[in-house]
Formats: sequence, structure tokens, C-alpha cells
Amino acid sequence: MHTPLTETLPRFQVGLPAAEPTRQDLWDTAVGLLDAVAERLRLDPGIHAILRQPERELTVAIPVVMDDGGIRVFTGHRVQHSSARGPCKGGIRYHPDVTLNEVKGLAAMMTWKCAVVGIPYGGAKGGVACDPAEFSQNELARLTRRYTAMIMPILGPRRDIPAPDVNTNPQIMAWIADTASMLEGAAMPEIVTGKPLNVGGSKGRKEATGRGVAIVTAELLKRHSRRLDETTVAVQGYGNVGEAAAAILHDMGCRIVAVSDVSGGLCNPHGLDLADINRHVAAHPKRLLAGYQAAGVERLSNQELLECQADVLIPAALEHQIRQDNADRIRARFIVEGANGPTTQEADAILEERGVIVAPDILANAGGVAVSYLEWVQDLQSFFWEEAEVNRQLTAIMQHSFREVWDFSQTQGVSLRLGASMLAVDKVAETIQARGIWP
Amino acid sequence: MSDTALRTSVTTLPAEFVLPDAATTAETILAEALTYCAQRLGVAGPEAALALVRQGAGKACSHYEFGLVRSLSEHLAALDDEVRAVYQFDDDATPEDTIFGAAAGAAIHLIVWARRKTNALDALVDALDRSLARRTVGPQQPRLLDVQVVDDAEVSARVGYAALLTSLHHPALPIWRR
Repeated sequence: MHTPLTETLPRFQVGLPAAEPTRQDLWDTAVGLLDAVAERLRLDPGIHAILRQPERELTVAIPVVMDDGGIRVFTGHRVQHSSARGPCKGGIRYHPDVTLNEVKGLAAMMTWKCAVVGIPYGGAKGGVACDPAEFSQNELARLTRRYTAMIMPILGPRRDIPAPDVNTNPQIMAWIADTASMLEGAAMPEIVTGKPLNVGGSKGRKEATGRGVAIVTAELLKRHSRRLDETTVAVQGYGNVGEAAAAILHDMGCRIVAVSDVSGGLCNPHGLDLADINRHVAAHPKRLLAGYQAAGVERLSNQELLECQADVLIPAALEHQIRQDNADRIRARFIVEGANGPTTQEADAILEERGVIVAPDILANAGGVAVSYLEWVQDLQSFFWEEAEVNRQLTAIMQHSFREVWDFSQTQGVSLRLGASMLAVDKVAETIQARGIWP
Repeated sequence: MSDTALRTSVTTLPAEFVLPDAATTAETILAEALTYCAQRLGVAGPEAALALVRQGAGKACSHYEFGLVRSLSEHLAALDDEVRAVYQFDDDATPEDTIFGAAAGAAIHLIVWARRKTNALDALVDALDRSLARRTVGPQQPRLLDVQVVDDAEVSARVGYAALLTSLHHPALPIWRR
């Protein structure tokens, strides 16, 4: 059993309520939570000081010739927080509100996420302040190529490997790979992940996050001697992650009793027919659950789904879904966070006091970054695996990382969320100590 | 439900609310979207853009969608003073998974931030959505709307879809602000 956490400790998962961090102060928050974990770990002050600053920050002014012939200049950033455990890894986002502090904070979070999941990467993040919806494809390509060229001095398959994030996609990753290849005069697909399959992408990426959620759920149940075929599951969010998680858990033997999307939810205590639901969604003009009818199936709201009778609740939609005002009505014994930050800090404390076990997002939705790593591995060896092999490797990574977080949390007597954060910092600190400070 | 029936169904709304002619507004929005699309593509005019959208050409569909969203946002704000801003968002657990799981023909997800939620705004959104859906340019582009209305209290408390307005992980894209 976990010892209740009596002190308030900042979390690595941000996206918190009003009194908690906003985009502007993300870096301050990242430093604050590192300080809190460092104190708990009795971290060496020198190592702590290293981790309190990003290793490298690069800000670039990106000129782009627009389709009308005019020139606009956009501000872009690439921040490498830590390369202690390996090349830096992190997405690139295009959004009007991107700031350097936000990118710094997100880079630090990638350091911890890669460490938790045990892949040999440090953390990085990039972003360009722009409104991609207004761009033509040609303008987007020119922006991406120029940005890539301007941050190229710090990129590389052994230095820093970008990936998709907010408003960037596999096409943009393909342009990054092509730009790097042209500048280097050699094929470099391994400089970026999240590429289309025909540019060196990996099979299995589409379901990777959902598969990771399912694997973590299964491991969590195993630790509590729960049989999968006697477990009921509710999934909030029937997008890519939620749908894959539900399907895989169903294949494992679980009974999926409730699912929901933006149009509301469906519930059947005897189990939902996912194949039938998927046919309905595919045929629906908005690709939604709305209008689905079947014997024994009742409609419910997203809020009601959170509070429905199920052993496992998987919030795989939005952040801030489980809050102070509804945490005491959650009936599930286990929560596996498929989305980023679905549980607020206040709700987390309530759940912990009630004995609800939460598998935190930093671990539970790490299947995506794990398959990014596998894509990089395949690119480096120029040998590509079938989907079954990707899934096998992903399963091994997720099972191993769950075991590490579980064991560490048990040893420390803390929640899985706090244990994951402490383990992440501990792993990075150990690596820095082992490598020593050059020269 | 026909537009006439819709107009009838909202006669109980506050007296100061005058429901616009949804059909005409939808026509205007579509025309503006196609004009924007044509300008961005550099083609002769809305009809040329329409032909490309009907063929499912990626660039044309992308510009058409943005034009549609922008024009819709402007009309919503013009017709309802309560509207503060309109955002577009992706519907999945993580930003990476949105793109890997993107389904052709999925709904366009919008967040309308209004000072307060009203039946009038709901009726307006519903009427425009239905009218736009009815006039969707062809089977290759069956996109319709998913509109989530949030109010000041939800934005302040960062609950529900309002959390996406200031989300760190998955921020919605601002389309229009008053």
C-alpha cells in the first residue's frame, strides 16, 4: 500500500487549473517541481544546478517568402534541456502563442518522460510562433525548411531528433528529413521521427499510444492480482488513443462498459460491441458516436462516464477532466491517464486519499515516444520491422518501465505519479554522475 | 429538420434575439470560404476552387476548411454579441495522436467562447451547422461541425473544453477574437 502523500509536490504533468501554471510560467514551474523532487531525493547540489538550466537554447528569426511575394519573419526556438542519457528528443509545435519559456518547460518534461520510459534520449522541444492554419502548403514547406536549416547546427541523429507536436504532422517531418538530407548531401531519415512510412516511418505508430495505455493497464491490474477477464473498463475519449486502448484491452479479455467522445457517451454494463460501434463511427458523417443505438446501450454524458461503475477509468480526451469537484464521485479503483494532465493536483490528492490508484500520464501515454525511439532505431539500421515486431518491442519497453516505476514507488512509499517523477530525475542524475563533467 | 421548422422551434427565445436566415448565412459562409480558397490557390475564382475541393485536392480542402471556419467565426460573432472568440481544436488525447489517427471526413472541432451560454447561441450554431451540412460541397468533403460552447466561468476555472484555450500540451488554435 502507498503511504499517503501529505505534502504538496508540484507535478511534471502540467495543464493545471487556474491557480496553477499557464503557458507563460511553465519554465518556472518546471524548475519548481525539479527543486521539490531534488529535495526529496537529496540530489547532489551540483547535479541539481545542471538540471535547473537547459543545456542549449537557440532562437532563430525565420524569413519566409509568402505566396503573394511578401516576406514575413517568424520566431522559432529549439531548446535542449539535457543530453545526459542520449540524443535529445522532442516535438516541434507551430502555434501563435509559442514562447521560449514554454519550449524550455516542455523540453524539461521530455527529459523526464524519456527517462521514465527508459529510452536512451534526453529532452528537447521546438516551436515556431505562427498560425499554421493560414498557411498554404507551399508556405508551410518553406517555413519548415528554413527553420530546419537554421536549427540544423544543433540537430542530428546523434544530437537532437525532432518529432511532431501541436499543428505539425508527418508531412512536415518528411520536409525536415529532406532538408537535412539535402544540406548534408546524404540520406538522413533518422534525424526526425513521426515520418510517413515511405520516408522511413515505423509501422505501429498509429496505435502506439493506445497500446501503451493498454499495456500499463494490464500491468497495473496484474500487480493487484486482478484478472483481465473480470475487469470492466470505461474510456473517456474515443479518438486514436481511446479507441486503440479500448480495442486492445477488449482483445486482452476486459469488458469495455463505457466509451465517449465529444458527442457524449455509450454505456452497457454487460459490455459494448466495439466492432459494431466502430462501424457506426466510420459511417457517421462527423465520425462520432452520436446516434448509435443497440440493445442494452444507454446514452450518458462525458461527466457521467467519469463517474460510471467500472474497475478501470481511462481518461483519453482532455486535460482537467478529474477535478476537485468530481474526484470523490469517481467509482473506478484504477485510473490510467491516456491524455496529458487529465487529473488536477487537487483531485490527485483526493484520489490518493481514497485509495484510487493512478497510473500517471508521464508513464501511461508514453507508448508514442517509445515507438518514436523504435522508428529511430529502424532508421539507423536501415532495416524495418513488421508491425508485430514493433508491438513486441513496445510491449517490452512499457512493461519494463512500468515495473521500474512500480518498484521505485513501492520502495519509496509514494504514489505512482510521484514515484515516476522521482525515478526520472534519479535516472538522469545517475547518468550525469556516471559520465562525469567534461573536461 | 427544415430551416423553416428550425425557425419555428426557436420562437420562444428572448424577444431581442432575431434568428438570422440560416440558409442565406450558410450560403454566404460557403461563398466566402471558396473565395478565400481560390485566392490562396491562385485559381480563377470560387467555382474553380469548388471543383478542386470536389476532387478532394488536399491543398484546396485545407484552404476551404480554414476559410469555412474563419467565415463561420466572423458570422457567429456578428450575429451574437456574447461571442468573445472562436478556436479550432484537435480531438485526441495527445497532439501526436491527432495526426496519426486523423480520419478523413471527421468533424471540424470548434470552441466558441461566449460571455455566457444562451439558448439563442445554441440555436444559431445548430441552424448554421445544419444549413452548412446540407450545402456541403460534395461527398468527398463531408465535413461538418462539432461546436463546444464555453462561458467565462468555465474559461476562468479551466474546466471542460475551456481548458484547451490555455492548454500547455494541446492548445486550441485561435481563429477569431473580438
